[in-house]
Amino acid sequence: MRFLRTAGAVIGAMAVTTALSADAVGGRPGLQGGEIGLTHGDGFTLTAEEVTTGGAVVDTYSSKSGTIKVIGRRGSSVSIVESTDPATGRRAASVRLSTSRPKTLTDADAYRRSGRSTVADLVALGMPRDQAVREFGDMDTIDGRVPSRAGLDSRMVASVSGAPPVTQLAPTVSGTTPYDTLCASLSYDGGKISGYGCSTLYLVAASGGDWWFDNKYKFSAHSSDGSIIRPQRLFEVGWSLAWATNNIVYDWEPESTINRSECGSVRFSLLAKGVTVSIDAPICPTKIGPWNLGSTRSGSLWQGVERGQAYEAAIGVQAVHSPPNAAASYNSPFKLVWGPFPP
Amino acid sequence: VSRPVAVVVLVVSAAVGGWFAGSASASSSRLTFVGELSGRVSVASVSGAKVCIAPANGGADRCGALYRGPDDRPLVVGDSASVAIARLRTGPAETTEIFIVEQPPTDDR
Repeated sequence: MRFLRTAGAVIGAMAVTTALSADAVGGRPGLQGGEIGLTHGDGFTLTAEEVTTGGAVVDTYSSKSGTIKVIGRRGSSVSIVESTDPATGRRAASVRLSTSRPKTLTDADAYRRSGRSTVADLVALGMPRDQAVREFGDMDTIDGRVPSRAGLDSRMVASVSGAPPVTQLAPTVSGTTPYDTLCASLSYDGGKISGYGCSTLYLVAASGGDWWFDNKYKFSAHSSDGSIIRPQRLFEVGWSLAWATNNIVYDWEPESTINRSECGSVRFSLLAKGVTVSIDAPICPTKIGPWNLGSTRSGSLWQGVERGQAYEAAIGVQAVHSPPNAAASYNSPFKLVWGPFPP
Repeated sequence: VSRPVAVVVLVVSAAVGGWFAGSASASSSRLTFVGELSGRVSVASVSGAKVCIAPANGGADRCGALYRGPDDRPLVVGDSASVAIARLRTGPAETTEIFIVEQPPTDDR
């Protein structure tokens, strides 16, 4: 990765919220747009819709300032909000992906049976396959190992690190059943600001309605603005994964703020229900730390000044207990903050 | 060189050398104290090893890995907590913030 130091002025911010919910079909009151309905748009409208071979819907929402593409199940919804901080001039972008699914064994295995994978979803969103494998290949395996390109198949998913799950799953569900991915791409200012992000959920144990998930997420974004004077640069990259009431996020990483004075690889992992889930990415100054933390959610936020046109990333892992009285409903908010540098 | 001058030079050299050694020692320390935080625990992992604290004087929650005494019970959501914040050097270009419990929680919540 190449890091260039540049100078500029002005700072910006934007906010995008995307929500995908299984029962929220396009015709539902308050929703508009495609199969992934738009609950709030801020000028965004549906400009394209396609269905992948795995049955996932790819909806493209565009406005004068940017384009958001999301992939998810039919009946999902999207809300997009944009804002500019009047004090700093920064624009901010955050995306929330959410879905609600029936808590049944048949549905638990639906994602794996569909043939979808994190990399395949990102390719469907327009990410070059090489880049998707390089940056998100570890999202297709629960232990974070990046599969070789030759070995990466759209149906290839989890591998296990550590002991098998403590609780036995029903025979039809593997110990590391990939349960879902929530992916989105974002592009603003004619593509000068762009990013791809995903949450990958793994159902690692289930007993009746008592389910346990180990999850990971990554949001990788950058500026391609080559302007010599005041190029657009990122200042914040954040991604999180939140669950419905009564679910419990009982462990998470990052747990605390990590300050970096140079770029270098950061790895987050945790051992939950006998399975290790991990993820890594190059992280540059200034810091990465917890974001959007609560009893039902956790997230990660990178903050700094983007070096040149380098990719900056927010990564994290979490362990979730979904008791019988909790719905299999979750969402992934993410955000970007950027603007000209120096201000 | 006269004897008094030599003594002065020796004393000054020793002082400068001592200061330099002290500085070098301080900068190579793995742990740096950066502040204190008091407030209520807003989030706690099931093991009690990771918490977020809502500052008593307002402001955003701060989260970190928690170090506590062997006899201290784990912090849970709602506990009043007083922690020291330290920066632990975890690599040549990396530090991590950790919380050290200063005032163990009591059970009379």
